[in-house]
Amino acid sequence: MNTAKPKAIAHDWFSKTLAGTLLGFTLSIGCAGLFNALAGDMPLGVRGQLAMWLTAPVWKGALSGVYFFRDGKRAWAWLGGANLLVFGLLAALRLG
Amino acid sequence: MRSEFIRIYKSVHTWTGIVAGMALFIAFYAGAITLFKEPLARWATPPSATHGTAVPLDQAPNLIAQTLRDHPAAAKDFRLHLKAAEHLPSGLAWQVLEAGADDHDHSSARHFVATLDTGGVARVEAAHPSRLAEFIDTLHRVVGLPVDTDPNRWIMGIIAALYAVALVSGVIVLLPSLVKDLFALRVGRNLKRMWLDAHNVVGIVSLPFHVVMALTAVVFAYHDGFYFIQDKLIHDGKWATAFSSGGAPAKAPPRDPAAMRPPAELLASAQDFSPSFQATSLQYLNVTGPRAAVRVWGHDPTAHSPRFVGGFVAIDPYSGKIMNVDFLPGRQSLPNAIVSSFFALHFGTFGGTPVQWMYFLLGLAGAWLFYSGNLLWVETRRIKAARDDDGSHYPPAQRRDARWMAAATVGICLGAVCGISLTIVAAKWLHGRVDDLNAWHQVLYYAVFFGALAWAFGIGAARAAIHLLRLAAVFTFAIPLTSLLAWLLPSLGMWTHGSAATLGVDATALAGGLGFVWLARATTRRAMQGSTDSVWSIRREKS
Amino acid sequence: MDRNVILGLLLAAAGCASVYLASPNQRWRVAPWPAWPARAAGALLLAAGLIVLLQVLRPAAGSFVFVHWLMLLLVLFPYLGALRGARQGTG
Repeated sequence: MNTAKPKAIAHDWFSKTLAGTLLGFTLSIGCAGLFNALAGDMPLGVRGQLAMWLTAPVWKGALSGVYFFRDGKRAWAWLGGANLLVFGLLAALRLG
Repeated sequence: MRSEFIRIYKSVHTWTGIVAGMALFIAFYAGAITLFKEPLARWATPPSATHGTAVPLDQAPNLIAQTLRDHPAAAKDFRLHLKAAEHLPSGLAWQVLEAGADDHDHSSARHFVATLDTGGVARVEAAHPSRLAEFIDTLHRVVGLPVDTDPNRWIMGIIAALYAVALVSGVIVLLPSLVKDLFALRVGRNLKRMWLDAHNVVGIVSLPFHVVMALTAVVFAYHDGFYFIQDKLIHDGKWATAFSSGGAPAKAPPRDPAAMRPPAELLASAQDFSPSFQATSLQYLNVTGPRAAVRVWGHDPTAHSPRFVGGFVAIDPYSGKIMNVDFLPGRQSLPNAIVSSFFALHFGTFGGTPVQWMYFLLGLAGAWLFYSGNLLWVETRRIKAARDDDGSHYPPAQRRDARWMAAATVGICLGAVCGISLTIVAAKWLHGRVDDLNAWHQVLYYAVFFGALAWAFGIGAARAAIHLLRLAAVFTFAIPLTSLLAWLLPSLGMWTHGSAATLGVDATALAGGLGFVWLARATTRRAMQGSTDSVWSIRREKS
Repeated sequence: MDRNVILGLLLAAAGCASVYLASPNQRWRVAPWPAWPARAAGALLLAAGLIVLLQVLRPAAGSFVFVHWLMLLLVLFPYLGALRGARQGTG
C-alpha cells in the first residue's frame, strides 16, 4: 500500500495541450500507417479510408487523455515514446 | 481516481464547453432540422409545370437522347429522378459548376432541367431550386457560418475537437457519481443540482451518439488534410494517382448514348442484384466517354446507407453489367460496410423514418446539452444574497462574466432559432417578390441572429430570454400559418402542398411553436418569481 | 413500416421503462420497482426487442436502430419524470 503523500500534479496547460495536439496527431498518423501495413490484403481504396478514419479517435483520445500526465514534460516524453514505438514498428514492417 | 484529476478535468470540461458550446448549439439545432432536409426543400418549392411528377420510364430514353444531342455538356453528369416530389424535376437534371468553386460549396452552380412536352419534344430550361434547406444544412456543417469553405470547415474542425475533449472530460468528471446519479433529475430549490442533473442525463445516456458526432465531424473537417498527409507518409503517393481522373485514353471516339440500355433495364439489373434495394434516381456519368457509368441511387430499408441521400450500385449503361457495389447498402464488403457505418451513424441513414425522428430528437437534446451546460456555468457563478438577509437589502449585483455569458447564450442560441424559423417562412412570402431569394435567406437569418445578440446584451439575459422565446414562437408558428393562409387565399401567390412530407413540416413547426410558448412562460415565471439574486431575475426590488 | 420493427421498438421501450423504474432515481412512481426483478425483466425485454429487430434488419442497421432508440428513451424518461413531479407537487 502506498502511504506516501502523492506528489502534486502540475497543470502545465499549454505544454500538455500542445503535446496532445501535435504528438497526438503524429501518433494517429503512425497508427493509421500501422493499420495500413497490417491490413495489406485489403484493397487500397477501402484500406486508406479505414486508416483515415482511425486518425480522429487516436488523435482526440490522446488530446483528451493528456491531462492525466503528472506534468508537461512527462506528457511529451510518453507521447514522444509512443510515437517512436509506432513509427519504429512501421519502419521495421516496411523493411522486413 | 485522485480528486486532483477530477478537478483538472473539470477545468478542461468547463473551458472546452464554454468555447465550443454555443457553436455546437447552432450545429445541433440546424442539424436536427437538416434530418428533414428533403421535406423542407419540398415545402419551400413553388408548384411548377416541370416539377412534381416522374417521367414515365418508357419515355426516358427519348428524353435522354434529345437532351444529350442538344446539350452535350450534360453528358458529364446528369440525373433521372424516378420519384415524384415537389422539388424534383419530371425528367433530367444537371448542374454546371463555376470553375474554381469549392467542391463542398454548390451555391454558385447553375441548374438545368429537361422535360418532355406533350408532343415528345425535350424542353430544357434553367431551374432555380430553393436553397433554403441547403442553407440550413450549411449552418449545420460549419457551425453557423454562411458558406461551406475550407477555412470555415477548419473552424468547425476545431469546434469538433473541443467537443470531443469536452465529452471525455465530462465523463471523467462524472465518473465518481455515475452509478449513484444515473437517471436522476432532481427538480427543486437547488437550481445548480437541477441544471447539473438535466445536463448530465443527456450527456451520459446519449454519449455514444455524441462520440460518433464529434469524431465524424473531426473527419468531415479535416479528411482532405488527413488523406494528403497519409498519402505522403503511408501510401507513397499511390493514393493520389489511384483516384485521379487523369490517365483516361486521350483519343477515344465519343460513344453514342443512343446505344445505352434503357433505364428500365438498368433498374432491373440493380433489382436482380439486390431485391431489397429501392431505387430513387439514376445518375449518368461521362456517358459519351470510355468510362461511362450509371449510378442507381436508392435505399435499402434493411441496411445502412453510406451517404445522406442513400447508396448506389454502379452499372455500365452500354452492357448492363454491374461495375461496383462498394456503395450499395447491404451488399458491401465488411471493410466498406464499416466505413459506411461512420457516415450512416452521423446522418441517421438506417431504419428509415423512425430513425430520422430519433435523430431529430437526439439532435435537439444535444442542443439542449450545450445550452444547459452554459446555464450551469452561469448558475455556478451566481452571487447569492446573504443568508441572514431580513429583506431590507437589495439583491447583490451579479458578476459581469456571468451576466455576459447569460446574454451571449440567450442571444446566440435563441438568435439562431429565431433566424432559422424566419428564413423558412421567407421561402413562401418572398418567392417571386425579390430577385435573389437565396441571398435573402442568408440576410434574414443573420439580421435576426445579430439583432437577437445585440438585444440580449442591450437589455440583459433575463428580459431577452423571454422576448426571444416569444419571437421564436411567433416565427415558428408563422410557418404553418403561412401554409394555411396560402391555402385560404390563393391570391397571395403562395402555395400549400398536400403531400404528407410537406404537411409534416407544418405540423412539426406547430409543435415547435407550442414548445417555445411553454418555454417562454416558464422563463417569465422564473424572471418574475425566481430568486432575485440571479442574472435571470427581472425583479429588482428588495428581496 | 415493417410490423416487426414496431414490435421490436415496443419491446425495447418496455425494457427501457422497466430498467428506468428499477432505478432508485426514477420519478414515475412513489417507490421504484424492486431492483433485481425489474432489471432482469428489462434485460429480457431489451434482448427480445433486439432479436425481433434483427429479424427484419441487417445486423449493423438493426443494432444501430436499437442503440439509438435506447438512448432517446432513457434521455426522455427522466425528463418525463421531472415534468410529472413538477406538475404534482413542488412546482
